[in-house]
Amino acid sequence: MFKPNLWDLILIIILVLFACIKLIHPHFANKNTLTCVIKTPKKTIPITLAKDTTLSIEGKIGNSIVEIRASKVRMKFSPCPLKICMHQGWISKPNESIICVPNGIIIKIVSKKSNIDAITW
Amino acid sequence: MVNQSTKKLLWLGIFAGIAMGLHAFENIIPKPIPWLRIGLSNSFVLYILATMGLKAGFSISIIRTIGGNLITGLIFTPNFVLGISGTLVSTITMWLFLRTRFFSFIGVSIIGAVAHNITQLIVIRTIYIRDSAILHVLPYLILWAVLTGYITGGLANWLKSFNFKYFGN
Repeated sequence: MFKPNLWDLILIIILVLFACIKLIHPHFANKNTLTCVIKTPKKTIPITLAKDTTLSIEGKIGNSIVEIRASKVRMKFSPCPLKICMHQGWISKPNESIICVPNGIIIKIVSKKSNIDAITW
Repeated sequence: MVNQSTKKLLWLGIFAGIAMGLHAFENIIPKPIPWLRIGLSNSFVLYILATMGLKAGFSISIIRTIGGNLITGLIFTPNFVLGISGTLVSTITMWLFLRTRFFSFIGVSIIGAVAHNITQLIVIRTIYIRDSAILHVLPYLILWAVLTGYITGGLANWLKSFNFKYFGN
């Protein structure tokens, strides 16, 4: 009852391969097309990940230090009480983010192709 | 004596009724995404496309969509719109691929399921969620279509094994 043809198997393999390639494809994004967006309460700063820099960002309760090194970003220092944002570590892939709620700072990695955060119904 | 066209009509009526019942029943099965159903009634459409031709297959698919949604009170909801558009495209695609005689019932069923899902995705993108972000569920839809198309094709094979005789005595 469930016996496929040779052509059926070829069709199934082609479709499954196509779907898997579409799923895994964003992980191999070229590093040069990624930009990091830092959102403060006052302004939004897009920065490329190609250069190593250290920035001081002004937030609600003080200055946070954001470090970019080897195409990765982290929150080096932040004046918030719990320091959750500092324990996040490095982010480098699109759709990853570091958020400091007391200081009002969001660091996001965005790829030029798509800018989706979530899909809801 | 019952003549041949009446006999054919009787068989079509029985199959349409069963397909309608299956369509209505599938609303109860839990689904990951609301309108992603296991298209069990597509097995009947496929079987009738193979044995009775395009017109009969069309009639089955349209009747089961309208009738199934009418019974469960879902007519003119997104369920109905997606169902109609999906089945129309899917029926034509399945008939075309049946004519080439390369694929067995299982392959044609998978093609029909993929066509159905892609059409539903396009309709959703145009009418309901006007954002290109929804197109990113396409890989999951294709995988789901391969799985359910396999099951539906197996069901169509099972129907074929009964050797219903439409014509003659």
